[in-house]
Amino acid sequence: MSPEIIGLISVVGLIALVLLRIPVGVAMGVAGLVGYAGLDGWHRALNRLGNTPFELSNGYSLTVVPLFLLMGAVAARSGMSRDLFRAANALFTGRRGTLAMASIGACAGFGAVSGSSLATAATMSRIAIPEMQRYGYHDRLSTGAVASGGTLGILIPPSVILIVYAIIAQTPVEELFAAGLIPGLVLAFLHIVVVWLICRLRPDWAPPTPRIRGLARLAEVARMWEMLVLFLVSIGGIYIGLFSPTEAASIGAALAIALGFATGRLTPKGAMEAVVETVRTAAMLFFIVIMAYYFAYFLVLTRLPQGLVEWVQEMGFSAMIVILLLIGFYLILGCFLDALGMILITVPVFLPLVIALGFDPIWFGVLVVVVVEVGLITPPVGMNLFVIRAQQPDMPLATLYRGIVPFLGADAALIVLLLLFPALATWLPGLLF
Amino acid sequence: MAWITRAFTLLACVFLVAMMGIMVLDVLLRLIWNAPLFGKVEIVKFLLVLTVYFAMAETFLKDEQVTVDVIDQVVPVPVVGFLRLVAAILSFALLALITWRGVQPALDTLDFGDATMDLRISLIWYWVPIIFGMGLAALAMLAVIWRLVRGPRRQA
Repeated sequence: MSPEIIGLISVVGLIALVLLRIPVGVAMGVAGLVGYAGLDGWHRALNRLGNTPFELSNGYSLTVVPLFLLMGAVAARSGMSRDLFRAANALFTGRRGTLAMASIGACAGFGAVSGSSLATAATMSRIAIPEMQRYGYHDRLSTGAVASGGTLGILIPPSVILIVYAIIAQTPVEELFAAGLIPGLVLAFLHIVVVWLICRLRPDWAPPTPRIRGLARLAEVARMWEMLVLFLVSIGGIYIGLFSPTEAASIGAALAIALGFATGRLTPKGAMEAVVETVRTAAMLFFIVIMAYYFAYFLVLTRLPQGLVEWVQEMGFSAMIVILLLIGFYLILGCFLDALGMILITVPVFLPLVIALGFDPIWFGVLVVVVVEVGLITPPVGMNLFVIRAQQPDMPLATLYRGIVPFLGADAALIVLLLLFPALATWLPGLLF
Repeated sequence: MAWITRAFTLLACVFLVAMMGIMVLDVLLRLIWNAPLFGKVEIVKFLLVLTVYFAMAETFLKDEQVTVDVIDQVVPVPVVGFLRLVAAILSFALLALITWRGVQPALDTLDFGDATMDLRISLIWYWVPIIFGMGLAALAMLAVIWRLVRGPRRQA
């Protein structure tokens, strides 16, 4: 059997294991081990398996993961999300659909201190949905705004998914963080446009809310100062070259803790919970990344990615057709796999092809994250929808699914914009680094 | 088993806070006195290994590894229970193999006297938390397997 066929069987086997409820990390380890043994014998496969945790954990750049996770976990327990919602509400006041627009604005703001889409959706759904329900907003609008707004968490830096992509694709984290910012802001704007359109077509879905005026409005807007300080110091520090990503993450985490205690809104219990949550999430992520690293090493040995490149060249597909096919593949896969699994399984296979076609790996990283985001809000594995359902158990799942549909248009528009204007993702890193 | 894994998770928390503290101290020393902490990278990498691997077992014991559970909606409950058992057995086997095959390269670093560049920390100290953490996670999965096998009998 040729190495390429062994590689292909392993990829299919991996997807089958994941769908059979085997944890993603374990599935990658098992598929990689069996495939590697088939290729090069059990002795080498096991030796490599034993060495991989040390090789990967020895990388200094990985320290960024737990520290940015800590910053987000502390921010979630410091009441920052409620302040962001109130500030965004004051920014959009006077328009129909203010609260839905504020939810998206607050999600974007929270995404700037938290690297997780689920954390953003979970935090904002607790605050924004009850407020929208109080003013009689339609459930489809309120849940759709929060679920789609939550996806901004993995595009606007810091982003755990972008860090994982950086590790797998061996691209600089700081460049990916710069690349995600403008598309993230554009997506937030597009989501707000969707809310505006919904309110134009169905004004009864968003009854008017009290208008905030003058100094009161200014005072409310000023509530986002904590988020701004955290973002400007940590991510801004990376952009101006003051900090490395790891330094920025530690400064951001320490600052989030200091601000939380200084404002009296972070309790010692809350801080402890944040630290415990962080180490557990980091351990879980590391195990998956270690196994993905092992699986990717095995795939390189099989020459499957190179085989894919040669096959595409032989078929004579244009670069754009290949990218469109990949987007279609990701959208289908997103119905069954979670974001992290998709990135870890597919990037080692597709990235060599994408680079061979002349695309920028940084641009591809942003594109993949945007496409993977769609999987977070589409059934059956729409993790953001499940998170909202967990917070709002009385809400029918069908309402959540229907609510998200208009917002998918915003994601589609961003994908088209990224294809037509790659500079949306590549301009800022080119300018800064 | 739960209290053992919890104890090591709490230790991991201490190492995470220490890692953050050392990084902040290094940045302040660098920005104020242009005197970064000597050997910072090596200390932080060591603390990272301690943080991640000491918390590993609890993520397995509490079933916190990322799992795609779409199949739960299409197969009967006993089949889901069987798949959970298969997942636990595979997890145990993989973790046990990683632990076992990590021992020899760890001992090799000791034999060859491998150490870090700046602080001359023996690399065995980086290996120990990895092997310990993976081994503890394997034991945690044994406990999960035991729980899954015993669970239905207790209910009966």
